Amino acid sequence: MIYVLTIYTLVAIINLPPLIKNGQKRELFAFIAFFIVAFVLSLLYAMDIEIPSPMEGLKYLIEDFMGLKYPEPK
Amino acid sequence: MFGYLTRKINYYFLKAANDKANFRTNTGSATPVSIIAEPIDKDLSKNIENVKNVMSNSCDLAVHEFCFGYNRKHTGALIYISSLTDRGEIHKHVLNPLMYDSLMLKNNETENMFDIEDIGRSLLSITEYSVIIQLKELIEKLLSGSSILLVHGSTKALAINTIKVETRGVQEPDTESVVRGPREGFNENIKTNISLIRRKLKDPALCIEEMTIGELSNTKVAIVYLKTLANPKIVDEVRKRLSRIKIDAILESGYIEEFIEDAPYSIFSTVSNSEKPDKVASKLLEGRVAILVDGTPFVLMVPMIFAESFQSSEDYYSRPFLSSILRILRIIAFFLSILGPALYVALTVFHQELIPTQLLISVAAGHEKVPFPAILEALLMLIVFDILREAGVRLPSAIGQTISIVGALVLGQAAVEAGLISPIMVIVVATTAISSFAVTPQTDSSTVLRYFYLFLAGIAGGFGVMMGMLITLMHLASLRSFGVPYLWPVAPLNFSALKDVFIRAPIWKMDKRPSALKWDVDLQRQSRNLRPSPEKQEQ
Amino acid sequence: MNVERGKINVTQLFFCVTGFVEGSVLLVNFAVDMTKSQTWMAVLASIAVAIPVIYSYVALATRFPGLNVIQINDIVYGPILGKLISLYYIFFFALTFSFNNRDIGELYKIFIMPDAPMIFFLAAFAVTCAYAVHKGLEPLARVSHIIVAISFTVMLLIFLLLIDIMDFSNFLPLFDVPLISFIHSVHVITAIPFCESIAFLMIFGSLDKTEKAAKYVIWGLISGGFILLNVAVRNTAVLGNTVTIWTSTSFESTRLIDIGTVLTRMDLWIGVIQTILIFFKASLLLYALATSVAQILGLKSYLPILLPLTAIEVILSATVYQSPVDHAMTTQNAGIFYSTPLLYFTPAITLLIAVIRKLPKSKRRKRS
Repeated sequence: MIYVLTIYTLVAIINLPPLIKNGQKRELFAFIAFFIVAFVLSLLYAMDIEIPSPMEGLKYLIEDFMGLKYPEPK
Repeated sequence: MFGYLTRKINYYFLKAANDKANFRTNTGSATPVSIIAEPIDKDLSKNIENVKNVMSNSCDLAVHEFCFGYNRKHTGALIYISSLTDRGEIHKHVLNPLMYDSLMLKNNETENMFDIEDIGRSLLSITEYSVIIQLKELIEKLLSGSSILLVHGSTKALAINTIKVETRGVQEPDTESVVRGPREGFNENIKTNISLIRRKLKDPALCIEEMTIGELSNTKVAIVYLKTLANPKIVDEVRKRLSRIKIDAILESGYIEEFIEDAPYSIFSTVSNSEKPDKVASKLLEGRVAILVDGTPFVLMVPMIFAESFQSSEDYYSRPFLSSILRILRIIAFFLSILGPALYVALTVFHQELIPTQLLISVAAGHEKVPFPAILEALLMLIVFDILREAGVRLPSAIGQTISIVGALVLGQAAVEAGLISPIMVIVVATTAISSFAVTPQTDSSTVLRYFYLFLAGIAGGFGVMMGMLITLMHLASLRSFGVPYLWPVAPLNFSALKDVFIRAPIWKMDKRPSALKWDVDLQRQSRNLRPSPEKQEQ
Repeated sequence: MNVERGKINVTQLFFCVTGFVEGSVLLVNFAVDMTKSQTWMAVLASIAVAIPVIYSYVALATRFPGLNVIQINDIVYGPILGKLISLYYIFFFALTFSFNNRDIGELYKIFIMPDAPMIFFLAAFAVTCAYAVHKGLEPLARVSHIIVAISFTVMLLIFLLLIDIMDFSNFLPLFDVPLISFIHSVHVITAIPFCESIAFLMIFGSLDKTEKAAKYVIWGLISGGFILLNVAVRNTAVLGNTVTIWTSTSFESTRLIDIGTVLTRMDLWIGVIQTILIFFKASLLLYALATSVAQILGLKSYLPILLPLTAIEVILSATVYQSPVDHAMTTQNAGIFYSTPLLYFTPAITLLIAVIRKLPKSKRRKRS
C-alpha cells in the first residue's frame, strides 16, 4: 500500500511538470487517464481485492461458448 | 479543489505560451569592470589616467614616460604589467631603439614621428606587435602580457608582445606514464601544448582555431583538428557548443567538458582527455577534434567512444600480442571492478546453491564469526577503501604510503582477526580495488556502478544484478558523443573496426580509419599489404 | 553519423527478429505436452507454416513504407473500423507483454528465489523494459546482435557439453503422435515464438530501407527457429521420455552437465540468457504497445504514457493467471485461439483489401 503510493507519487512528480510546462494538453490528459486507471488497479491489487483477469473471460468465450478446444490426447 | 487545479494548469499553459512568444536572449554583462568603450585619446596624460583608473592602480602596473626623437621633442609612454612581461626584452628591443637610436635621426626624419605605425616598422626590433585604437582593446592586450606604446598626439597605440609566462618544463605526466613511448607531456601553457602537437603532425592541414572563453578569466581555448580528416559537422558542433558557454572563468578543461557533454546526467563521460601529445595526435589522425585550454595540461578530445577507455597509447608501441592480452584483461578488470562485491553478496546471500560445495564451506566458515550481513560487510569495506584511496591521493606521497600500509594492516589483518570482516570479503574488495585502477578513464562510472550493483544485489540478488546490467547496457547503447554512438563499433556493429577493440591487431593490418567519424574522406590510412615478409627470390 | 536517428537498418532487423523468436525458447515447453519426443518435428513444421504468415506481415509493411500498422489500418479500413482492428492489435500486444513478464516472474519465483513475492519481479522487470523503451527503438536494435551472440554462444556451449549424455534413441518411435496433437503443437509453436513477431508491424515503419526487409525477416525467423529446434532436440535427446514431467526442460537438461565437479551449475546460464532474451522480446512488445496506444490517441510521443502503461501491465501480469499451471493450460487453448484471427489472417486480409483498393499511392502522400 505504502509502496504503491510512493511509486505513483514519484511517477507523477517525474512526468507531470514537463507535460504541464510544455503545454501539451492531449498528452497531459492521456497521461492522467492512464495514470488514474493504473493507480486504481494497483490500489485494488494492494488491498487484495480480486481483479478479474481478461483471460478468464476469453477462456469462457472461446472454450465454453465457441467450443474451440483441442481434445486431450490419450 | 479541481477548480484550483484547472486554474493552476491553465496558468502554466498560458505561461508556456507567453514564454515562447516573448522569447528573448538575456545577455546581461557579468563583468564588474566597466569597460571603457572609447577610442584612444590624442592626449597622452589623459590616456594614462584612463588606463590607471581601469586597472584600479594595481601595483604591478608600470607606466614609463619618456621623450624621444630629434632633440627629445616627442613624448611617449610605455605601459605594461611588470608581472607578466619580460623586462629585458622591453629594454633591449623597445626602449633602447626608441630612446637612443632615434636620437641619431635627423630633424626632418622625425617630423612625422607620431605616426605610430612608422615607429613599429622602422624603429622597434621586435617581431610581434599590433596597432590598436580602442581603449578596451588596449586593456585586453595589456592583461594578456603585451606592452603598450602610446605616443602623445596619436590616436593609435602599439601593443608589443613582450609576454613572459612562468611555466613548467615539458615533463612526463604522472597520470599516463608509459614503459615504452614518448615521455613528454603537456604543460600549463597553451603555446607549448600547440607546439607539441605541431611537432607530431607536420602538415598544413592541422588547423588551430583560437577563441577566448570566460568573462573574467579570458582563457584561451584552441580547437585543433586535421582539416582533411575531421568531419566538418563535428567541428562545427564543437565550435557551436564552445561559443554558447557564458561563464565567468574557465580554470580547467573540466569546466569546458561539462558544458559540451552530450549526456550531462550520465555517469559515463562522453569526452576523453589526455596529457600526452602522442595520444592527442593519434586521435586527431582518426578524425577527432581536440580542445586545448590554457592553464591545464589536460586536453579534451571529442567524440569519445566507450572502447577508448580500454585503450592505452602504449598498446600501439609494444607488439600486438601483449597488447591484445592486456586489453582483454582491462575489460575483465572493468567488469570485476563493477561487479565484484555485488556478485559476492548475490551468491552468498541469495544463491548459495550455485557455489561449489567446497568453496561454500570455506565461505561459510569465514563468515561464521562476522556479526554483519554480507551486504553491510561489503558496503563497509567499500567505503573504507574509497576513503583510503581519497586520503592517499591528497596527501604528500610519503604520508600517502603510510596511509596505505596502515589501511592494509588494519583492514586486511586486524579486522579479519577481530572477526569483523570475513577473509573472503577482504579478498573480494581488494580485487575490486585493484581492478578499478586498471581502467582509469572509467573510474567515476565504475565507482558509481559498484555501489549501484551492490545495492541491487542486496535487494534482489542475481535478478537485481541482471536488471542493473540490462539497464546499464541500454543506457550505454543510447548514449552518443557528438553524433557517434558510444558503444561503436560493438553496437552498432562494425566488423572492420573491431580489430582495435577487444584485441589490438598489428598496425599494418589496421589500414582503415574508424568509419564512425567518417564523412567523405578517404578512410584508407596506409597502403594495404604492408605485412613484412621476405623478398621474393629472383629466379 | 552513419546511423540515422530513430532508424534501424535491415541487419539490425535480422538480429531483432532472431532475438525476438529466441525469446520464446522457454515456451517450447507448452508444446512438449502434446508432441513429447517429436517436438522437434513440430518446430520444423511450425517454421514452414510461419514463413508465409510472416511474409504477409512484411508484404503489408513494404506496401506502406514508413507507416506502422495503426496508420495502415486507418488507411485501409477507414477511421472507425480501422480503430477497432487497431484495438485488437493493442489488446494482443498488452496481453503478450503481460505473458512474457509473467514468464520472468514465474522463472525467478519457481527456480531461483521462491521466498520473494512475484509482484516484485514483475514490477522490476517491467520497469527495466520501460527504461529500455524510454531510450527508444534505436538502442534496442543496436544491442540486438549482442543479445543474439551471447545467447547463441551459450546455447552452443551447452549443446557441446551435453553431447556426451545425449541418446538419440530417445527420438524413437517416430510418428507415433496422434495427428490432432501434432496440429495442436504446431499451432502453439507457430503462434507463440513466431507469429508474436506481428509486433514488428509497429517497427517496420522505422526501417531505413523497407523494400529489402522481407529477406532479412525470413532469415531472422529461420535462424531463430533453428535455435528453438536445437533446444527441442537437446532436451529430448538428454531427458528422453521424462521430458514431459519437468516444469522447465531446459533447466533440467542443463543441470545434468557435470565437468570435473566444478562446472555443475550451467543452468545458471540458461537463467541468464533466458532473462536477457525475454527482456529483449518484452521490450519490443512494450515498444509496440506504447507506440500503438500513442498512435491511436494521436499523441506526439509515447513517452508520457509509458510509465502508466507499464504500471497497468504489471497489475495485468500479476492477475492474468492464477498459477503457472493455469498459465500453461490456458495458453495451450484459449491463449492461442483468441489471437488466431489476428496473427494468421488480419495482416493478409488487410494486404488483400489494400491491393484491391489500390491503396498506398495518393493517400499516403496526403497523410505523411
